[in-house]
Amino acid sequence: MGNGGQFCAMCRTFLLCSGLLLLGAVPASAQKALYESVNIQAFDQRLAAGADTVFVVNFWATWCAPCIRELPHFDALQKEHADKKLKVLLVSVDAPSRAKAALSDFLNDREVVCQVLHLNESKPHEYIDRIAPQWSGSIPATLVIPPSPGKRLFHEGEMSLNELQHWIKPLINVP
Amino acid sequence: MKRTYVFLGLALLTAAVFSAFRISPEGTVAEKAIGEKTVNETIVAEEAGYDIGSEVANVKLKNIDGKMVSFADFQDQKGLIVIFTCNTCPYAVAYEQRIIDLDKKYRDMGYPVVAINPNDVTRQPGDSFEAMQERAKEKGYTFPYLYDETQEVAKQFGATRTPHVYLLKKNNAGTFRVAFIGSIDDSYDDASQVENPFLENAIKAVEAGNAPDPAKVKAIGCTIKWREI
Repeated sequence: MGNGGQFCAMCRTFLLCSGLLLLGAVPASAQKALYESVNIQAFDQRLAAGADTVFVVNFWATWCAPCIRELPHFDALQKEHADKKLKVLLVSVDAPSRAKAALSDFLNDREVVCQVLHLNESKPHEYIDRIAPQWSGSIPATLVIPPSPGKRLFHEGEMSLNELQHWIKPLINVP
Repeated sequence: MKRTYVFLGLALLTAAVFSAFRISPEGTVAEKAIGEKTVNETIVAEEAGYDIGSEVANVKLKNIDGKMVSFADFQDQKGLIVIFTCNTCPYAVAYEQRIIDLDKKYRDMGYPVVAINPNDVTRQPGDSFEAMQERAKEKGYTFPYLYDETQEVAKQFGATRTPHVYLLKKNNAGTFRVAFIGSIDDSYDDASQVENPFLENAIKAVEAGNAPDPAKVKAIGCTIKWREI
């Protein structure tokens, strides 16, 4: 029974790992925090630490209808490239005073595959240029950071899955 | 039990491998070029429009009372607070009362508010002319709320989001020049937490004969709903 129990535990680990692989990211579960709160410095550090990774960063908010409409595209993109060094980050710019309630409610009601960050900054005029000088501040907005020293891509407005795939394709090693 | 776990695990792994190597139907080189073109077009569009010091071409649009309003009608004013805004953007709604208050405070000083709704009604039905009329009546707008049906004025200004503010200063020749572009203040969700009332500071600077500093302030906002061609 002891061995059997260990084996089952291994099976469970295997099952869990396979599940993670399938989802391509940390799934939202009861044990895991629904999102991680970061300030602009921590966000920059996160990007700098993954110099070999393609980052697709989508800026959105719970009050932004077009943003919510395009969220499934990002989940699809992350799933499609689950085995690649590609990381999709959904960065909420909800006001810090509202994020705790609004963002938790929103994520509780949905299965979001991609990692969600909350940009815990109350002064957008101080971080917008730092993220992308060409960004006027409207959302949705999407930034693609290729492995360094590649050229960053930026788009203000909604994107289709097709457009996202066209951007990503040259940046990752397609077998 | 054991078998079930192994089976489930293998099934999931297989699914994961298949999902990772799923071949996209849009994998052609020709379409890749279209994707890149989109990027360039976006950047060009964002660079267009007025900058600080730009002379503003006259604007003539239909107001919610059905009458045409022209910037030339404001010749006796010192300037204009032009705000691209709308009924539907939560960000614009958060600023609505502040816009009403700005008009009350600055109209008599010679800087009335002129609000312009640039959203395409086919993409945002809540921004129809009728919906604008209702909204203005309900909230008691004291300022013109103009309908930029062709979106030409938003393009002329280079507005990208709602709300997007342009402070215009009338010069001696009787034309308006852009003195400030950006955000009303630095706290959209809570008017009591404002540390920098950017627009009011800009008005004060203009009144004192100085150039506003900062003259441009970025803010989060809703994308203008452009008509799909």
